[in-house]
Amino acid sequence: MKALGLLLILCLGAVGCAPPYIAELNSSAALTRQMTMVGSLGPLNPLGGSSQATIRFLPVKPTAASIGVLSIQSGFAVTEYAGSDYLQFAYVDSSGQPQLTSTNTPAFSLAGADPNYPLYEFDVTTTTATANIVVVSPNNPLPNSTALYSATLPTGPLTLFNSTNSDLVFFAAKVLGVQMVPQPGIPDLFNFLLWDGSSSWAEGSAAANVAGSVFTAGPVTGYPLLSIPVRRALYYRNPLGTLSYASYFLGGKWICDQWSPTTPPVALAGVSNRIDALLSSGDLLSTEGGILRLYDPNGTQVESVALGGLQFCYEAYVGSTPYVFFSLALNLGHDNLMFRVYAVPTSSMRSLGG
Amino acid sequence: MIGLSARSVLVLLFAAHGVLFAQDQAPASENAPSDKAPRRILFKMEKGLISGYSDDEMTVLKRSFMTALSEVDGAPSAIDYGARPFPASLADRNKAAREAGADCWLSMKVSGLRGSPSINVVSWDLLYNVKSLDFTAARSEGFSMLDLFRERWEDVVPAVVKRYPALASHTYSRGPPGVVTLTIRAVPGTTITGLSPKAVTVGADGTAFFELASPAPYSLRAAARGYVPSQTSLYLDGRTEFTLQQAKSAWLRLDAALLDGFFPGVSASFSIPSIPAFARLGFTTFRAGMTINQDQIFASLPLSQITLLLGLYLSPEDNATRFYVGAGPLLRVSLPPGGAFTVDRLVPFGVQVVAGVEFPLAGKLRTFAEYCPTGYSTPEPTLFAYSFGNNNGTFPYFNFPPTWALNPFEIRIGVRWVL
Repeated sequence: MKALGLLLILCLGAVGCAPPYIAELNSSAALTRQMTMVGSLGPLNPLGGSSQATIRFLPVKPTAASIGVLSIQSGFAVTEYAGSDYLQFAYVDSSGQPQLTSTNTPAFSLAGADPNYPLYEFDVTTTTATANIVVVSPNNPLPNSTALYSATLPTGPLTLFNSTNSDLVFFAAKVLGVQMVPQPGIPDLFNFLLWDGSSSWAEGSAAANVAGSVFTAGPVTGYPLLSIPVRRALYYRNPLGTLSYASYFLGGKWICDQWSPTTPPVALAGVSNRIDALLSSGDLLSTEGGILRLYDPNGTQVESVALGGLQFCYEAYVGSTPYVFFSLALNLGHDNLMFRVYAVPTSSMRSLGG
Repeated sequence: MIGLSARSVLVLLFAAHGVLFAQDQAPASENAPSDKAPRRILFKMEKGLISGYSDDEMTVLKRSFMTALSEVDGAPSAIDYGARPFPASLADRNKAAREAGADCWLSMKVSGLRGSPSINVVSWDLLYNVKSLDFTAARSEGFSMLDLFRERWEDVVPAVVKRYPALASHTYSRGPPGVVTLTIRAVPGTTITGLSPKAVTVGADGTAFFELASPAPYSLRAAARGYVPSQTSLYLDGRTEFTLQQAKSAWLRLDAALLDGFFPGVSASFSIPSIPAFARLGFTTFRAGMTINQDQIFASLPLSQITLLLGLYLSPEDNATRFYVGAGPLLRVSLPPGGAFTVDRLVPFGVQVVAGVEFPLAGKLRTFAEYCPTGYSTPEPTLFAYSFGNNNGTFPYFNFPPTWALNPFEIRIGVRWVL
C-alpha cells in the first residue's frame, strides 16, 4: 500500500502541469467586454522577454472609416529593460507571421530619470504610408530632444527619420510638455508648453509633418505663466484653446493646474493623480497606478475603475467619431506576448465602471 | 491436561469429521457432554522461496513447534500434514483440513538466512470461515545452528492458542440431524442471502425466519437500503435468534486532495439514496503547485476550479477496495490581481471523466486515487494554443480545434473522510 501511494505521488509529480491560464485576460475582463477589440498581434518575443520587462504596445493610428472594419496589425512595442527604453516595430509579415524589427533597435537611456514622470513620451502620429512615432525627451536630466522614427507600412523597417537636440521650432524656449491632439482627417496637432529658461512660460502649437522636419513652424501664442513652479509638466489644451492644464509632481503629490487665456493657473482641488490625456470630450484622463480616472473639465472625478493591465494608447478618430484606444499585453509564458488593441468611444468613457 | 487419551482423540477425530461435513446432516445432540474439547488444526511447515535451512533442520523446527503447542493447556491438537506440498488455494486447503479431521489449518513458511529467518504464519478457521492469523515472525540469532534447537515459539504458539480456544464438546457431537428455526433480527427490508436457496427479505417487524440444520457453520450476506451490506459468519449451535449488526451507509464523504502538480483541493460527495451513486461538489485552487510544463517549477495562479460530478460506485460498500466512475462539468473562476472575480476568459468550462479507487486507511479515513482526464472548452482557441509556447498544445494537452482540448494525464489523490 505504501509503495502504491508513493507511486501515485510520483505519478502526480510527473504529470504536474499548470493549467492554461492568462491572467491579463481576466484582470481586464470587466473593461474589455465593454470595448471593441480592433487588433491582435502575436505571439511575439520582445526584447527582454515577457517576464522581466515592462512593455507597452502603441498601435498604429487607425485609418478605417468605421470601427467595425478596423483591424490593427502593427504598432510599436516599447520595452523598458535593463535601464533603457527600447523601441521595436511589430508587424505581420507576408506569410502571416507576427514579427518584431530586430536591427537598429533604438535605445533611450533611463539613467537619472525622474521616477515620477515618463521620461519619454511616445506619440504615434497619423498613419499614411508610414507609421511614425515621435519620441520626446523634455528637459532634465537630458537636453531637450525629439526624434521621429518611421516604419514603412506594413512591414518596416523602422528607421530614424529626424532627430534634433534643439528646441524644435521654438528657438529660445525649452519644451516642458507636449500634447498630441487628434484631428479628424488631418494631421495631428501638437501643443507645447514652453519655458524660456528664466521666468517666462508660453504655449505653442505645431502640426505634425513627416515630409522633412518633425514639426512645421507654428505661432507661439504664449504669454507669461509665472506661477508654475516646475521645469517638467504634462501639458494639455482643449481644441478651442479656452482651457489649458499642466499636471506636475511637486511636494510628493500630483498637482493639476488649470488656466485660460484670461485667468491665471489655479490648482484643481479634485485632481490628485497624474493626468495622461485631455480627451476631446473635455474630460481629463488619468491612468496612474493602473486605475483609470476621469475628471470633468473642472477637476471633479466622474469615473474610477481598475484597468486590469490595459494600457492607455491615445485618443483617435475613426471616421468622425473619437475613440479611446487601449492595448493589452497578454503574457503567454515562455517569453511570448500577444498584443491586443481595444477601442471605446470617447462618449462611453464615463460609463466604463458600470 | 493437554495429554488427550488415544480414545479421546479418536472420538474427537470422528466427531469433528462429522461436524465439518455436517451442513446437511449434523444435528445438535441433546446428550452433549458439558466439558470442552480442543480444536484440531492441520499443520504444515515448509520452506519459503529462499530458506537457509535444510530439510532435516525444518523437521527439527516442525517438531519443536508441535511440542511447544502441545505443552499449552487447551491448545489445538496439531495434525501434521507431512512432507507433501501444501495446497495453494484456500478451497484446497480447507478440503485437506476436513479430510484430515481438522477444523482449522495452520501454514508456516520459513524464509530467509539461517541467522535471520522470518516465519510467515497463516491460519484459517473452518468453523467461522475466517482467516484467523496472518502475520510474520522475525528471528535474529547469533548462532543459528544452536538456536535452532532452542526455538520456543513464544510469539507464535500463544497466538494460535488464543485464536483457537477449546470448544464445548457438544459442538463435535454426532447424532441425527437437528433442525433449528433461526430468527434473524435486522432492519426491515434487509435482503438476506446465503441461508436459503432464495433471498429472504426481513419483514416490517424486523425479523426473518430460517429452518437450519444445527450445529453447523453458516455465512450470510445482508443488504438493506441505506445500510452498509455485510457478510456475516456464524456457528449455529442450537441458538434460535441472531441479530445482525448493520451500519448505516455513509451519506457524506469529504475529500482533501491534490490534483496533478500538487494543486490542493477539497470536495464533498453526497450519497444518492437507493443507488450506489453520489454527487460531488469540488473546489481546487491553483494558487500553489508544481509544474513541468512551465518555465518555473512552482506555479501560483489566481485560478480555481469548481467541479460537479455524478458518480457511481462499482464495488459494494463493504468492500475494502472500492472502484467508482463519474463524470461532470467544471467551471474555472479567477480573482486576478487588479481585477474582479470572474469566470475565466480563456477556458471558462470543461468536462471531466473520473475513474477512481479507494482503500481503507484508518477508521473512517480512506485514501483514494483518481484518473480524471479532462476536456476543456475555450472561446479563445488561438490564445489557448499559444499559451503552451513551443508545445503549441501538443503536450500534455491535445487540441481538438477549434474550441476543445483534452488533458488525458490528470490524476487526483487524497484522503477521504467517510461520514
